[in-house]
Amino acid sequence: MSIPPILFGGALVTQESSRPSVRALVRNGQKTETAWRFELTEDAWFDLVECLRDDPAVLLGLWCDGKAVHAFFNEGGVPGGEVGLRPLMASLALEGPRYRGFSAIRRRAAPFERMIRDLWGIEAMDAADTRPLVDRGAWTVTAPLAERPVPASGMTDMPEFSTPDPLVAAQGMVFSRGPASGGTEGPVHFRLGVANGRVRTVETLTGFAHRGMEARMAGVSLADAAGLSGRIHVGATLAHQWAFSAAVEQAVGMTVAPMIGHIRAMLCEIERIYTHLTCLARTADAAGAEMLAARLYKARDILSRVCQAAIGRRLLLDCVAPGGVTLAIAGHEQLHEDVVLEGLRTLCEEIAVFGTGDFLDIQALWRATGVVTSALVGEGQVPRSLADALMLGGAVGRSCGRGADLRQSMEAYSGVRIRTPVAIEGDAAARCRIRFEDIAESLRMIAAFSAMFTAEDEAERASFFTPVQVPQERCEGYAAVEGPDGLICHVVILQAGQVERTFIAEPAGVLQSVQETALQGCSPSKFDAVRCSFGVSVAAVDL
Amino acid sequence: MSTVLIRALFTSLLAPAGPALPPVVSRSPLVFFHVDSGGCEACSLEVEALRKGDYGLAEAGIVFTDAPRVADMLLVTGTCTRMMAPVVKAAWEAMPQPKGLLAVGACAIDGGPFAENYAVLGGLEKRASVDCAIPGCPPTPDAILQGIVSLLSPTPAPIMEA
Ligand code: SF4
Repeated sequence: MSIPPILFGGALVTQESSRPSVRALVRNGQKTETAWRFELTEDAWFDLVECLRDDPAVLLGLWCDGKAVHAFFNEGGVPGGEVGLRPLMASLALEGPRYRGFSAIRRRAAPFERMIRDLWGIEAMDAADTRPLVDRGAWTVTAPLAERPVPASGMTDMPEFSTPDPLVAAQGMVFSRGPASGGTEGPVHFRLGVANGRVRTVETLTGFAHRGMEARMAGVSLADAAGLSGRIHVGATLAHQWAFSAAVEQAVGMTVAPMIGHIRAMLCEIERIYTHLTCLARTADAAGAEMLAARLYKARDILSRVCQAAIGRRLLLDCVAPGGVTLAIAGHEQLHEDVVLEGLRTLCEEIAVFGTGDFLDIQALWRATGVVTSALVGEGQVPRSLADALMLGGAVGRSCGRGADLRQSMEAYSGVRIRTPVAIEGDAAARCRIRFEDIAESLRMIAAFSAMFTAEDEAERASFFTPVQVPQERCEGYAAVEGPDGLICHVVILQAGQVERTFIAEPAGVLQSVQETALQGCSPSKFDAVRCSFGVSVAAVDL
Repeated sequence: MSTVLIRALFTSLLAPAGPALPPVVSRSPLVFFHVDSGGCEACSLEVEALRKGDYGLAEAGIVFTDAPRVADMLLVTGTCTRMMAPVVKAAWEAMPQPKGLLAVGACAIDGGPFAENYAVLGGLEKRASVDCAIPGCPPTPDAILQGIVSLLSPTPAPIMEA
């Protein structure tokens, strides 16, 4: 039964929202030479943070350049569907070592705020997570990117680990693993508090793999930065190369031929298959399903060999650069477009063979393997509320019912139907199922791209690589790509003929914190398998 | 480095006194401990492909372990970050004599794209005597295997090309 509104004085008082939108607030700021970036005063920045409480704008990235902090938003929610990316960047000139942070309202901001603190010594006020992310006192200096870095004392002022959970302290045990465990998780340290047969606390010590990507991709030539973009982490090397290259092209106002977009998209789908197969293989291996793991590893290796033979790139490093694609077909010195197209067609054919044969067998074997099911069903549950709060994408977000997919609005995927698999269980089993379904979808898309690589149209035969001339005057560009584990975003600033700065947004930082939360409560024997189902790369977290 | 050196082999052959240690190369199986000391993970992924794929490692008498104290060879991928340096050192020190060091990929050899900076020390080449260096960014599993096999052969083999 619905109760009618009570009218006082005969008039229905409607609540008018007095708060302006994020869009209005940012666009009210000082215009810059970049159409989508605005400089905000400190007051306007405070208002912006508050405004985010009830605005759907998504914070895609938060970075610092020493003089200002820059918050990169997508208007109206997670980019995807028909609309695509609607970027908006707010910059706040720093007047001291602090700025009002976003993480209390937008939890996605936490890894960015932690990184800014470690690299620049600039703190976010009101931060939800004040732990260091990458600086553990082993560096030569603290705040290495600041104008005047301080020589490191050898100790951080933060406790390395929080005090143990009372139950773990009373009757449990603490287990440590890494950073050199001989396993596949890379250089990272886990500390697990176990009591009553369950993992009660999970702490992750990151930073062992920090190489300083941000510093390395600043003040370098375009070619060097492009090479580095593919070495952020191998699981999304193509997606990063593409995002970086597209950001540069956007900055200089270059439009690449549609065929180049399709080649990039096709390679990105191969990468998705690779990364999912690797993640599934590790999960199966950790669950004790050795035969299944061996099949998955073998499938990935066969695909890598096919790639090596067809396009000269086993793991898809150095495939994309600003201005096109840079494939080298084995046995051909001259990179001729016809040869590239032929190589790509062969690649698509070989992948189709995998899709109709081996892949289906492996999928059936996965379903029939009891140890995998029992290790993953109901474990490592990510609540929908957490997924929504962190705006998760990729396999983790999709297994919680979140279906946003940037590919739906990307020009490079035009002509290809995108179906994004979604589940609602949110557990490790659902994540793995989504990965299998994602692979099936990628296989379907690759078949569709294959038909495009037969185009005889002369217009489509435009050169696959046109070197980009970086202008002397400053220009900024952005791009986002749907990577294997979620949205990957690059913002580049070009000046004086080189790459002045590159800002990178990676889903791994947020996924790592989700993994930490979701692993609490799982059985210690299942810990590794459930952890693997998240597919978090430490190289991507640490940068 | 033009030839692959087996430091452990020389140690055991040239040591004037003390118990004769079996050279690394004569052991079977030859046990590897892998440390990723910070790279883009491509090299460690290729090592993983080699370990888990159909490359016949076990048949060739090559196994990987989770514990450095039973390892003969330390296989390093990735540039050595300042945080990982003590870890690599501890792993090396935990290994029994004789032992060898294998650097896989440009990062592990000389830092590759990740040369020395505030967080990174760089490659092993200048800091340790590397017994086998397998170049490439990344090297293929076949190239890594070839490098390992060269360790098992009694005659020094030339450095591998990726
Ligand atoms: S050598 Fe190259 S491929 Fe290997 S970890 Fe380093 S950057 Fe990655």
